[in-house]
Amino acid sequence: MSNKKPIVLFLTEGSYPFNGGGVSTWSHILCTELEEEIDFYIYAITGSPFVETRYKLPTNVKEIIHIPLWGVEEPVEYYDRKTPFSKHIEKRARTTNNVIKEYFLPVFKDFIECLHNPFYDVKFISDVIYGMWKYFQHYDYKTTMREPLLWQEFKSSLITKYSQLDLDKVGDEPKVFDTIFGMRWLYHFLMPLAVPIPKEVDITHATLAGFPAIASIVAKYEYGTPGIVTDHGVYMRERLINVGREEDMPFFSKKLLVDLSTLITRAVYFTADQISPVTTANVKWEVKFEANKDKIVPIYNGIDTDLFKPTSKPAHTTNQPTVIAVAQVFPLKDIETMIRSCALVKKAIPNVQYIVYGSLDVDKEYVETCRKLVTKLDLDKNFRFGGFHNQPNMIFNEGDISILTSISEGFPYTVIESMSCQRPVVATDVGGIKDALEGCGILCKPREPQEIANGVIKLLQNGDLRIELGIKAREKALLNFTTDKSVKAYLDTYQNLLSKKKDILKHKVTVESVINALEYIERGDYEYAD
Amino acid sequence: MNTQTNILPEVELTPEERFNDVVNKVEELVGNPLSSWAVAATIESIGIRDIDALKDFNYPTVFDLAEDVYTSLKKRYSKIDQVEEKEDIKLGDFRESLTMFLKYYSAGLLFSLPMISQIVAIILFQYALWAWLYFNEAQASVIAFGTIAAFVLTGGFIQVIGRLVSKYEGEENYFLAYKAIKRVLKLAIPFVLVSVAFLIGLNIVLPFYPLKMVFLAMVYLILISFMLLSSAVLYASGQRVIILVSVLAGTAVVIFGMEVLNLGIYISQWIGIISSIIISTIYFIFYYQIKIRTLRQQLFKQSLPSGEVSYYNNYRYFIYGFCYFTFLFTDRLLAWSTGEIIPPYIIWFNTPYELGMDWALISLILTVAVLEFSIQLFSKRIIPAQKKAKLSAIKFFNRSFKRLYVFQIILLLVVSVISILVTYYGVLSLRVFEDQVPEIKDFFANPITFKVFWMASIGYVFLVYGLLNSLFFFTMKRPEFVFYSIIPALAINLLVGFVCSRVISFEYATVGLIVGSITYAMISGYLARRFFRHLDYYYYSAY
Repeated sequence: MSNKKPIVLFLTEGSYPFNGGGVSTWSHILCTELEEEIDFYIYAITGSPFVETRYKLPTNVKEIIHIPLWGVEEPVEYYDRKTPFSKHIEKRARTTNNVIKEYFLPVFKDFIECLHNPFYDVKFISDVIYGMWKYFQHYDYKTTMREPLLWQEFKSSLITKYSQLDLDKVGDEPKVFDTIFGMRWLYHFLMPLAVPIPKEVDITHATLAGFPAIASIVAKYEYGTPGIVTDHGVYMRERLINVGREEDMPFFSKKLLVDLSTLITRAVYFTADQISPVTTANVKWEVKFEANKDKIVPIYNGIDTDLFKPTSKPAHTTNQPTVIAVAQVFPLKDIETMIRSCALVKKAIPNVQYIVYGSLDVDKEYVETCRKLVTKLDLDKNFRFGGFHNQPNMIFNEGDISILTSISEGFPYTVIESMSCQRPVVATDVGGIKDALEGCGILCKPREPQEIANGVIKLLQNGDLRIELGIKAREKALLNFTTDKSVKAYLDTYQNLLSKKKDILKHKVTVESVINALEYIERGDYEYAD
Repeated sequence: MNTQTNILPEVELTPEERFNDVVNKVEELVGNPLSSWAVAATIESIGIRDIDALKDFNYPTVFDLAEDVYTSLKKRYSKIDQVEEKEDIKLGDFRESLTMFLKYYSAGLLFSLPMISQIVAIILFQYALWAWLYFNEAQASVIAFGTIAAFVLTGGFIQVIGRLVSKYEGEENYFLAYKAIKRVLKLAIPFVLVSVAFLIGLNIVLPFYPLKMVFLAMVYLILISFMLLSSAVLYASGQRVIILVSVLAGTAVVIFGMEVLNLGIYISQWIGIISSIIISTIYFIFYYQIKIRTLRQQLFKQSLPSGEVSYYNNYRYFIYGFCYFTFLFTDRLLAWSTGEIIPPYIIWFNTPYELGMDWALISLILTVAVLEFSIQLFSKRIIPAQKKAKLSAIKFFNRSFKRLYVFQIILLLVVSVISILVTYYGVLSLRVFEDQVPEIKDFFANPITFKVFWMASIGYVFLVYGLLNSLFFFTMKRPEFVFYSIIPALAINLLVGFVCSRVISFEYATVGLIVGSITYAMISGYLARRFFRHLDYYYYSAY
């Protein structure tokens, strides 16, 4: 048996290893904890080319494939550093108008059809995505995407498509802007189609079901590489929220972007061997985008329970009933409701204090609104913004209980960290919080200060209940939400995927345009072999 | 009780009121919704769960609630406002264009102030940075050779500096802009020095000039090259006033060297040019250092593309810069290397010819300033027009910009004609002083000066039109179009100028400039026509 460790191609976007945040922390823990068992190639999509690693990478991170989507004239210089640029120029030279017309344009036409009907047959969509990737392994991405024929095709397809719509019902009209920026987005967002996949990769692991996961689709087709996708939030749900809220983006531009994301997500779910949301709350959205229920295996995030362990309250909070919140101050955390709940609690427990630890820089306007509300409700002595704290493991032990009033969440670390510190949590019942807190905390309706205040009063006034729930919370965290358990679940998944027979999907392609392009490429392969 | 109502902001609502509340809230967040799923996601994001959908709104799930919210919202957005203009897109109003014209035309003229300052210095003090009223023809030949060679050798680098600095400054990345400048200068400076060594070596093998003359030419070549490079950095960085300041300060040093220290013209001019270079260089170093530190850009890891990639991305710009400056001086080199009386050396300065060219240069300066306006107008109009133009009427979008382009051509023609007339009669009016100032009499003494002025002025009209097109191409990242236009133009300039100057008379080298400029105008004009006809495509592919 070979000593070679399996290689996981770990697909990220805007997170590990170049940016901080929850997903990055999770990624770093996973890579570090599996240092002995697994080697990782990180395939990282970023907005800007100018980024640097924020983490001390473990020795098992063997390679970083960096794909900057914006701000660079020749992205290939970043994502394919092993190939000399002169080879790319050669590739560019052989990307003739005729090749594009004969072999890429038909595939592109099919792709545009899929874009207009993102809920079209997902096998068809996946075949087309693979066909495009295969083409770009032999022909230049930039030259092809700048080809006037493609632009013409895209433009006329939009005109045809939109002329069929009842624009009165849609409520807007497509503009030239939508077309120009729509096609530019295709160029930028589909850049992963140009990125070669290292042959030696054994598994792909996408940290979201979005554009970087294109690599997992094509690896499955080309090499039969099994893949897992972890849904921290649900990519499409977040996309719908974020794109929908873009104020400066016209309607049809939003539509195009959402449709593009939809077809990619569906193809990712279709080709993935396992879909692992971090909470069962995500499942209903995954199913909406046709994730096969049999493939869905939730894996919870874990924390270091030796680090987040119960200690007694420090001197400065010992004699005061204290409620701790760990949250960046911005609207999604609904700090206003938290402040209102504090005012209600104060009526029953006059010396109660709430301390919110977390950045005050995310939305300064909102912070100001919150501060004004604190003053207005005469809570200056009861409600405090503690700002950033450099020892997160100490925060929860400052309080008797913790609180979270978010209106939207995935599976927040702050809840399980507090549980691990034996501090029961009063939290809104959104996202995956219920998975963590059921039976060991108090769940409330969001935006209901009275209900939240009742929960806080109950726990602060009833010491026995507080201790009982605290112990249960710690037990539940130790049982379900430890780093070891979470990492082991992924290791088991990797081993399980490795044990499966490889299913190379390229032999099952049925889309005519793709078959045609593949045949041409196969015939010409010897000419371009390095 | 009062406190209670203060703390709890919401009063009890009926399900219908709650529904309307949700509709309003979703509209506030997303406007015209994309789909019922987008509405569902938004509803969830405001804290409404399946359990709330059932309890508060009587819907089984959030998705069911979202369906009805979506339908309600779509009713609000149905019946889109028909934009009045069916076809043509109004790009902007005349008053705004006029204000822009005044602003950017003046800014364009500002760039010529350093040149104008040199003319004024000559008139008032008889000296400028590298000119002197009393240079003899041998001296003038040597210095002209050094100057022309400096422009030709640095032309490519100047263009690349301009391109890189505007690219990185456009991204507000002063760190990389500064790095790019240093990288280009690290190539340009040795290139100039090696070229000088080569020219000296060549002159040893093939002695075109006496060694002393070559040495003199090379000193001017090096100094003027460095001055052009440092000015190019300031120009690209938008610090054009500093160019004027450095030129004025350098000129003051020349005057001081001559009038006070009696250092002689060469030493005075060399120290003057060096002073100017030092001022420009120190300024741009400080400018970038301050920008980088203020914006804390040195803290991010950033790097320029590799040498190979940089070369690939910039070589067209380099060749264009080289060709453009060569194009500008080709006629002079051809005219000065022939004549009825065989020149004593391979290139021999001809005063009447140079005066004619300098005269025409004034009209060029006045005309070229309009380009700044044209490109700013185009850039300002393009995005709003895209947002306004319906996709179904995309050809009208292109047509509107074609009209804008034609308007720019007409404007350019009008400005050209006015510039030529103003220049001609403006300079001619100096004749009233010809009895008091003998130099003025000398200026108008030779009919060749007039002939060259008219021919060069006409040539410059076509040249500026070519430049207008080139600017549009550069803006849309199509340097190859400029490339395709300037190379044949240079070849024609050389060929026609050579034939005419040898067959007719030396001053007809200017015909080469005219025909070359017409070539440049025609090819770039043809490409521009295609460019504006498919502007949507070229705008899309400008990455």
